Amino acid sequence: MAATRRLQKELGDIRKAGPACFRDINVDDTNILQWQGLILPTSDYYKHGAFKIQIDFPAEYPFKPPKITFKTKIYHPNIDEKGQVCLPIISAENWKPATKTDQVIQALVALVNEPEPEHPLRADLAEEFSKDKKKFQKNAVEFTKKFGEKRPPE
Amino acid sequence: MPISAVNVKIGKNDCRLIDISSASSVSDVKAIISSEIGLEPCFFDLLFCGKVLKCEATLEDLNLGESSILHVFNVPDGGKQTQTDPKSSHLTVQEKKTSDTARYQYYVYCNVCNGLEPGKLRVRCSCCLEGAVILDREPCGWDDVLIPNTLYGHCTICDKNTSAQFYFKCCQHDSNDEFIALRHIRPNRRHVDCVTCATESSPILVYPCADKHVMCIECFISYSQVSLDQRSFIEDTDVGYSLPCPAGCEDSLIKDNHHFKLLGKDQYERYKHFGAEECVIKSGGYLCPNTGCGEGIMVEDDATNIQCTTCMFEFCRECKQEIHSGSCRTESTTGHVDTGQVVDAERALRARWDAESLQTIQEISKLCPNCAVKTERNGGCMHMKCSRCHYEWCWLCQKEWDRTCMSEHWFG
Repeated sequence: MAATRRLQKELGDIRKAGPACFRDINVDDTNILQWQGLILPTSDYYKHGAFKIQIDFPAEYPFKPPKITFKTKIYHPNIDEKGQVCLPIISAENWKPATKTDQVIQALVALVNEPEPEHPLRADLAEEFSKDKKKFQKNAVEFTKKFGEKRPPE
Repeated sequence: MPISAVNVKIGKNDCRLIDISSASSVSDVKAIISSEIGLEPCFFDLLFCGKVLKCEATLEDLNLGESSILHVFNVPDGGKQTQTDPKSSHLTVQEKKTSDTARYQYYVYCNVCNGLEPGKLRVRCSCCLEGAVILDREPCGWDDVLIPNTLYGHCTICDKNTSAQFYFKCCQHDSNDEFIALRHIRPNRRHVDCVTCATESSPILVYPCADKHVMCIECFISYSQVSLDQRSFIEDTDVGYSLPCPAGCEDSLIKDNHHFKLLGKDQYERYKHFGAEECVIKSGGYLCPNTGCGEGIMVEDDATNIQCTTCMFEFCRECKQEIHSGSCRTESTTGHVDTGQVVDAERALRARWDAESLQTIQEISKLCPNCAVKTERNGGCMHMKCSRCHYEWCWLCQKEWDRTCMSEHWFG
């Protein structure tokens, strides 16, 4: 099966490279189609915490894109209360089977670090982000400290 | 497979079978022919696949099948040796390098073996259809081989210059059947990993993009199947209904639709069906909305009603529903009915059930606002893209998707 072969290789590569922004990768031996891990953003809004995400790969992977869900609450214009995120690189229209999970995570971390108020899932936060950055930052930092996961040691 | 018999043709009609071991050389074959026809070996040559054969080439090198034919060709100037012919030396050098299936460069979709098989390239005179042709030059690429009248040669039977006709045979079974070569498939001699599953295999499919991305056959089949299910093939004026390189490269569409035969018979039929539909839509035609029909209809006038030429169903051009008087209905009939009749209780109950199930159907499926195909939303956001006509619409508003939909109800 293409999905298993490819994911085993991708997982091996990611673990070997050990990216600083994606840590504590957890994959059940019986189901390589579901990954969990911690996102470590670096921007001032979110640098005080880590965020648990779940990546679900379809059986048809890599011909269909993975889905990403935030398991940790986050104060972010592009991530809704259910943890759903709208990431263009994994949308059905844009998905390319050659795109690697590593690239998807890089794109996700970039979006977390720098929200895109142009395509919001939460209009209220997008408006706050666009009109009052200071207030947004204060709220985001507080929210992250309250709900965020502890960042693992470097 | 050792070959113990070789077909030799002298002129157009004299065909003989020569028993000889497959380890024999061309000069051994010539010696036997010489004794049979009483002509010294230096007065004739053997022709195969557009080439004059070198004497030291062995029959194994030539990769002959049971139906392959060597043509006897009379050298006008008896003393001249073909070993000095630069055109024939190339063949010998190239064919000696490898052995058995490892040396096949071409692949065909064989309808007899029912699958992808190594293929062999053959050439014949387009006039007499015999293989006794000496090519003017060697084929340098697929276009030389696939586009008719590109290469010419001297036919020793017609004794004139004619256009060369190339064709492919399956290496796995012996017959005169011809098959279509799949130009993007080749052996993985450079040991490149598949762009999607990252493992190495052979043969592979090489996309015609600038980077020449490589995909294994298993992944190509999955990629085609998923793309077919999602109707995400691209209808291109030049190459037809096709798929691009999965890395998203420009100008990378598979150039020959026969590659999709690898999907298997049923799915290939489905592929052709979808392709025809896309073609109809792209040419401004309509697909019959009648359940189970879907026939493509080209309409020349601008009449409001269109009739399917196959099932005779008549439908409204605007709403794609059965013909009606007055303006189009926007919603299905779930509204109240005129109660000017006596209805018994049981019947009323059933009608309620029907109404409920109709409502359920309405909840799970909506008509594309553009082509009216019944669409089911099985998750994701409100942004719908019609898999048939590619119209982008909003599930909630049932109109074209816009920024208001994004800000007000993208998810929900």
